[in-house]
Amino acid sequence: MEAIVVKEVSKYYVKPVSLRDLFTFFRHRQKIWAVRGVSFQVAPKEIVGIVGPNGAGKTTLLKVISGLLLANNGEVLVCGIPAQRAKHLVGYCISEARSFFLRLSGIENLRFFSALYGLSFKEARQRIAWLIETLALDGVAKRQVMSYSEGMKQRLAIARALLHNPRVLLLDEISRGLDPAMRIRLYDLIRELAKKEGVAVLIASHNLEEIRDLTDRVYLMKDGVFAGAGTYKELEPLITQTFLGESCLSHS
Amino acid sequence: MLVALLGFLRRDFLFQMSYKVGMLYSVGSVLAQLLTVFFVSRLFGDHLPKEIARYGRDYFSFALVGLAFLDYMYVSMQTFSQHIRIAQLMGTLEAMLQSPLHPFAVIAFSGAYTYLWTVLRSMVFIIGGVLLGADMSSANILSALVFVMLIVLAFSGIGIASSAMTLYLKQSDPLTGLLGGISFLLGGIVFPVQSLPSWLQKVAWFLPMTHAVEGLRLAILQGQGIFDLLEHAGFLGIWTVIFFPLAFFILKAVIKALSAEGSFGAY
Repeated sequence: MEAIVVKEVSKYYVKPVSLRDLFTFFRHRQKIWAVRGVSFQVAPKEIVGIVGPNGAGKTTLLKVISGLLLANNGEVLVCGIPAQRAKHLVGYCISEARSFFLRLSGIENLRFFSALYGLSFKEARQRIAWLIETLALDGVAKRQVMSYSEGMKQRLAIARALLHNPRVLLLDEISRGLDPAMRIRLYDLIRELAKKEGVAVLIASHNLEEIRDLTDRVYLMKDGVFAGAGTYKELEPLITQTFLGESCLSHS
Repeated sequence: MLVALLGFLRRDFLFQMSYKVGMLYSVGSVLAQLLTVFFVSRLFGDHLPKEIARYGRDYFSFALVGLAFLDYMYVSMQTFSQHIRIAQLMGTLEAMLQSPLHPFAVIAFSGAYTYLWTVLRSMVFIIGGVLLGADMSSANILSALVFVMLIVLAFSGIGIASSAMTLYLKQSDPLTGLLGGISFLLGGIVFPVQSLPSWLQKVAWFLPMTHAVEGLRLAILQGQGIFDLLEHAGFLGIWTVIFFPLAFFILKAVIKALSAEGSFGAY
C-alpha cells in the first residue's frame, strides 16, 4: 500500500471578509489558489522532494497531507486512511520556529508533545533519549528553549516530528539554520529512517542541494501546480530555469 | 487521554514554577482578600442586617463562601480562551493541533491545571477563613461539591464558546469579562441579592452565579441537602444543558472553518 496518496487536491484561501462582501452576500470573495489539482503518491521507503520557489504551494500541500488543513477538492490518504484521521501516522516538522514553549526546556517540550501522541512515560523517556542523542541535543536539552539558536530549535522540531515513530514524515525546509556537519548527520538519519524503517518521507524545500542529495524523486511545483516530475537529474534544467527566472525577477 | 491530561498538567505546573513571583502573588492575593473580608466583617459586630442574618452565620462566613467560589466562575469562563490566545500568540497552537489529540481535548485540557490551582486557592480561602473564626461546622460537603461541579459545568459552556470565538477572531472575547463583572455585581458575592433594588433582583435571579452562590451558602452555612436546593441546582442544570452542547456546536463549526481557512497558526 502507498504511504501517501494525493488525488486531484486543490486548496484555495479566501481574503478576509470586507464590507463589499456583505453587500454582495459573499458571492465575489476573491480566491487565492495555493494548490491546484495536484496528484501524486509516495511509497514506504521512498524519499520524495517537492521543490519550488517561495509561494509555490509546498507548505500548503504538506499541511493538507498532515491533516491540519482541509482541501477544497480532492482526496488525501495516509496509509489508506483519510489524512484528517491519520495524524498519529504522520510526523510533520513545522517550519515555524515559535512553535515551542519557550520557558520550558527542550526535554520538557518533547515530554509534553509525546503525551499528546499518547506515549507512555517509559516509551517517551526511551524515545526522547534516543532523539536527543541522535540530533546532538545532549548539551542543551535541559536548557530553556528561549536560549536556543535557530539551528537548535530546528533540531528540536525534527525530534518532535519523530517522537511517535511516524510512518510518514513531512519535512518543510528542514536544513534551515543547521551547520554543514549537522546537515549531513540529519540527511543520514532521514535515509536510515526511510531505507531501514520503511518511513515514507516527503520533503518540501527550495534548497536544491538538499533535494539533490536526499530524494529519490522530485516534483517541481510552481504557482500551485506540478510543473515537472522525475529524478533530480532529469529535472535539473527545468528546476534551474525556474529558480533562475525567479532570481532574475527579484534582481530586476 | 489520561497521558495527555497529565502532560498538560505537568506543562502548566512547570510553566507556573518558572514564574515564581507570579505564584507568590497569587497566594498573597488570596490572603489579602481573606484579611480584607475579615476586617470588614468586624465592622458589623453583632448587628447583622436581616438579609444576612437569615443564613444564621456572621458576615465573615457569608462573604467567605461567595468569594471562595467566585474563582470557579471566572476560571470556567476565561481559562480556555486565555490559553488558546496564549497558544496563538506563542505559535504553539498549530503544533498541538497537529497531534492526534482531538481539538476539544486540547482546549479542555489546557484549562485543567488552572482548575487544580483554583481548588487549591479556594481550599486556602476556606481553611484560612475557618482559622480566622468563620463558622462552617454544619456544612453539607456533598451538596457543596455538587454546586461546585454545577458552577464549573454551567460556566465552562460559556468558556468553551468564548474559546471558539477567540480561535476564530484571534482576539480575546470581551463578553465573558462583561458577564463576569455583572455576575460579581448582582450575584450576591459580597452582599445579599436582597439589598438590590427590586427590579435588579429580578435580573440577578436570571444569572447562574446568583443561584450558585445561594446554593453554596445554604449548603455550607445551613447544611441543606441537595434535595432542599433543587430550585438552584435545577437552574444551573438547565443552563448547563443549554450552553454546553451549544458551545461544542460553535467550537466544532469554528474548527471546521479554521481547517478550511488554514488559519490555526495565525494570530
